[in-house]
Amino acid sequence: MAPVNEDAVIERILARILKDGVLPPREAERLRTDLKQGRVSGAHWIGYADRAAGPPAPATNDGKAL
Amino acid sequence: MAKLSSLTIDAFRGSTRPLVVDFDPAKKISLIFGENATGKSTIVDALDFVCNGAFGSLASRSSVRPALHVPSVGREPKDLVVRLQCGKEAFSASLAKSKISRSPADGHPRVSILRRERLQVVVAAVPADRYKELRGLIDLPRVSPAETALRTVVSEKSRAFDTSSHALTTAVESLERMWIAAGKPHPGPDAWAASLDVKHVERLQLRRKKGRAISADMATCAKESERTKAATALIDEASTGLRLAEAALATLLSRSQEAGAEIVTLLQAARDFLGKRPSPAECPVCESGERLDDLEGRVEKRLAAFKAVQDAIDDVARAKTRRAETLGGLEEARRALVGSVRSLKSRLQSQAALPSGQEIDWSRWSTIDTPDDGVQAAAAAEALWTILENEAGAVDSKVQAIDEELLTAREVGRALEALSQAREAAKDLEGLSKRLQALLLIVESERKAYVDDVLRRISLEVNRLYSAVHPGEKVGDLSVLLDPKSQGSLHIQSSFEGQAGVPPQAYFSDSHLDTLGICIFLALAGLQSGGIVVLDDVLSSADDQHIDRVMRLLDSESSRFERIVLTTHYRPLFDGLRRQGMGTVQVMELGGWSIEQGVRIAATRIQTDELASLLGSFPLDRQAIASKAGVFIEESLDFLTRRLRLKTVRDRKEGLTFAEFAEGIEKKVAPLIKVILRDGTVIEVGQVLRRIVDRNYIRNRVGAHFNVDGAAIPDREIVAYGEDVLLVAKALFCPECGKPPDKNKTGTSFECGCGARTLEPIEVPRSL
Repeated sequence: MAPVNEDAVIERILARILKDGVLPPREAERLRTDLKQGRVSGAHWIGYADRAAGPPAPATNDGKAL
Repeated sequence: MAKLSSLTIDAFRGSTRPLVVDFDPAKKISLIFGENATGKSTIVDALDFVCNGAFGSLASRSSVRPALHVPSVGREPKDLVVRLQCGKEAFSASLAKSKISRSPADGHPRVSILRRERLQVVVAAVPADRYKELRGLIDLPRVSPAETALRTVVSEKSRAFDTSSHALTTAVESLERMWIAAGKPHPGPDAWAASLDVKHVERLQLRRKKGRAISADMATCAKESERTKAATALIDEASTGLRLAEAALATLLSRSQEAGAEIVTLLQAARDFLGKRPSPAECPVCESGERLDDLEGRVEKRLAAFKAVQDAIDDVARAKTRRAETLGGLEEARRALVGSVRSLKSRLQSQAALPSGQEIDWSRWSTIDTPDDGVQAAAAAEALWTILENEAGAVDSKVQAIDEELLTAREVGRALEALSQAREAAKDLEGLSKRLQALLLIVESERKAYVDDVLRRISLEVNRLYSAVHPGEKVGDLSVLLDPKSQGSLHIQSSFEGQAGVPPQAYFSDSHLDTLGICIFLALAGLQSGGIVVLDDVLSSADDQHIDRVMRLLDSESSRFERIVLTTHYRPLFDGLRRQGMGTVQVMELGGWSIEQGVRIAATRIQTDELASLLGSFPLDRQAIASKAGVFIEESLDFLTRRLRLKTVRDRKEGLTFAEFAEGIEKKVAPLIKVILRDGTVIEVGQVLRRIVDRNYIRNRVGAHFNVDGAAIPDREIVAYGEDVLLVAKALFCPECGKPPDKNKTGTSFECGCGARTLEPIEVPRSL
C-alpha cells in the first residue's frame, strides 16, 4: 500500500473549491500555500471567505487580511 | 538504512550480563525461541527502548516505575546500555535522570511491535480506542487541524447569523409597533418611516424654533408687563408721598411765623456763606460790622430752632426726587414692553390666526410699530398684550406637540438605522456563512474520502493476509469503517458463515481473533512503509496448521519489511524449523536464565547441517552420526508411512519402533516413492530408504546401545548410512519452507508448503 499522501488530499480539496467556485483562484492559491505549510487557522478561513465575497483586498504573507 | 546487524544489551531487564543478538543479514525473519522466563521480552523491550524511546512492556504493568525497574536487578541505571548496530550505523540508548537518552536523537530504525497481550486490541477495542490505535494512519496532520478550525468558525458564524437575524426581527417589530402607535399613518411601517426623513425633521425643528421664540417673547412681554405695572405702582406711591410731605410742611408753616420759611431759607444761605467765609468783615444780610464774632454759631442756633420745618422741607424734596426717579423707571418699562410686544407681534402676524385659532386684525395695532415709544404706543402694547397673553398655553402646547413629533422621528430614525444595520449584517453573515459552510463541506468530504480510502485499503490488505491464513474458511470479509455519527470512532465488521456485517469479536474463536490481530498489525505496519516488525509470542492460540500458514505468510511478506523478529515459546514450531531450516528464517534459541548468567542466546544449529558437519568431521564421531541419523530416519519414516498410508501397523499413536516403521517400506513399494525437486531432479527416496532399512543395525549397534559388534562396523559404512539419511532428510524437508510435502493440491502428488518439492505417489496401488 502507498504511504500517506496528504499533498494529494490538499490538491483534491483545492480542485473542488475552484470547480465549485467557492473561492477565486487567488484565494485558492493562498489556501493551498497555507495548507501545505500547516498553518490554516479560523482567522485564515474567514480571510479567504471575506476576500472572496468582496473586491480584491491586500493580504499579509500569512494569508490574513490586513 | 543499512540492514540490522546486532543488538547489544547490558543491565537492561533480564540481561544482568552483556548480551549480543546477531542478526543474519542473509535472512529476513529472525525467530527467537525460548521457554518462559528466558528473556524474550527483554530483547523485544530493548528494541522498543532504543528504536522508539519507550519502556516497552514495563510501561503497561501496574505498580511498576519503568525508569526505576528497567535496570537489571543488582545493576545501576548508569550501567544500562542498549545498542543497535545497522551496518556501520550505530544507535544507542541509556538512562539519564530517569529518562531515556538516545544517541543520535533521531533517525532510528522504525520498529512496530505486536505483543501477545495487545493481539486483539484493535479488534476488541471500543470504537473510539480503535480509532486512536489507527489515528497515526488516518490523520492528516495539516488538513485535520485546518478542518477543525474551519468547523469552529462555521459554528461561530452560524451563531452570529442567528443573532443578527434575531436583531433584524426585533428591529422590524419595533418599527411596526411605532407605526401602530402613530396610528398607521402610511400603508406600512417602511413607507411611514421613509416619510419621517431628514427634511421632515428639519421642518419640525424650524417650527419648534419659531414656537420657542414666540414662547420666549411671550415670557419677555409678561415680564415687561409686570415691570410696567410695578413702575406705575411706584409712581402712585411716590406721588402720594409727595402730597403727604407737602401737606405736612404746609401745616408746620402755618403754625410758625408766616416768614418762617423764608427765614429758614435765609439762614441756610447765610450758613452756606459763612461756611465758605468763616470771618466776614460785616454781616452779609445787614452789612453791619457789629457782633460779628461767632456769627456762624448763632446762625446754626437759629436754624436748629427751625428743625421740624427743615425736616418737612427735606421730606418734600426727597419725595419729589423719588417721584422723578419712578417716572423714569416707568418710561423705561413701557419702552421695553413696547419692544417685546412689537417683537411678539412681528412673529405672530405672519400667521392668519393666533396659536389658539382666534383671528386678529393686526392693522388695528400699527401704533405699536411707530418709532414713537410714547404713551400711546405703550398703551397699545399693554392692550395687545392683554389679548396675546392668553395665547401662552396654546403656544406651549404646540411646542410640546412638536417636541413629541421630533422625539418620534428620532426614535424611528434610530429604529431605521438599527434595521438597516441588522439587514446589512445579516446579509454579510449569510454570505460569509454559506461560503464557509461550502468550504467545510469540501474539506470534510475530501478528508473522509481519503480516510475511507485508507480504511478500504487496510480492509483489502487485512482480507488478503487473513485469507492466506484461513483459506476456504467462511470467515473474513473484514471491513474497517468510520462511524458516520461520531467523530473519532471506527467499527470493524466481518462475515461469519455467510452472515455479513457482524462484529468479529462476537463470533470468531480466540485463535481466529489472534490471527486476525496479526493480519491487521501486518497490514498497518506495511502501510506505514515497512521498518522492523516484532511479533512477540503471538503464536500461542493457533493450531499447528494455522501456525504453519502464518509462518508461510510471514515468509511471503518479509520482503516488505526491513526484518521480522518473531519470538515464541512454542516448541513444535521451533523443532520444525531447526530440522532442516527455512529459507528466510534465522533461528535462535534462548538458554535458561539465571541472575549470574543473565539472558543467553545462541544460533540454533539446523539438524541436517549438524549431521552434514558430523559426516565431514575428523576424527569421526561414529556414535553421534549413528544416533542423529537414527532419530532423523525415524521422523522421516513416520511422515512417509503416515502420508502415503503405507502398511505400518499403527496400533498406538507414539512409540513405534524402527522395525514397525520399516515394515511400510516394502521392496515392491520402495521404487514408487520419489521426491521431485522444482528443477526436475528426481530423488529415489524409496530406494534410499531400503538401503537405510537394511543398515539399520548401525543405529542400534553404534548410535543407541553398547554393542561389541558395533566396533566391527567400518567407518565408511557408518558414513554411507549417515549420508543416505541426510539425503532422505534433505529430500523430504524443504529448506525453503521447512515443511515436508504433505499437501494434496493437484491430486497427483503431495507438495511442500512452498511447492519447491513434490512427493509421489499420491496413493500406493492396492494391488501392491
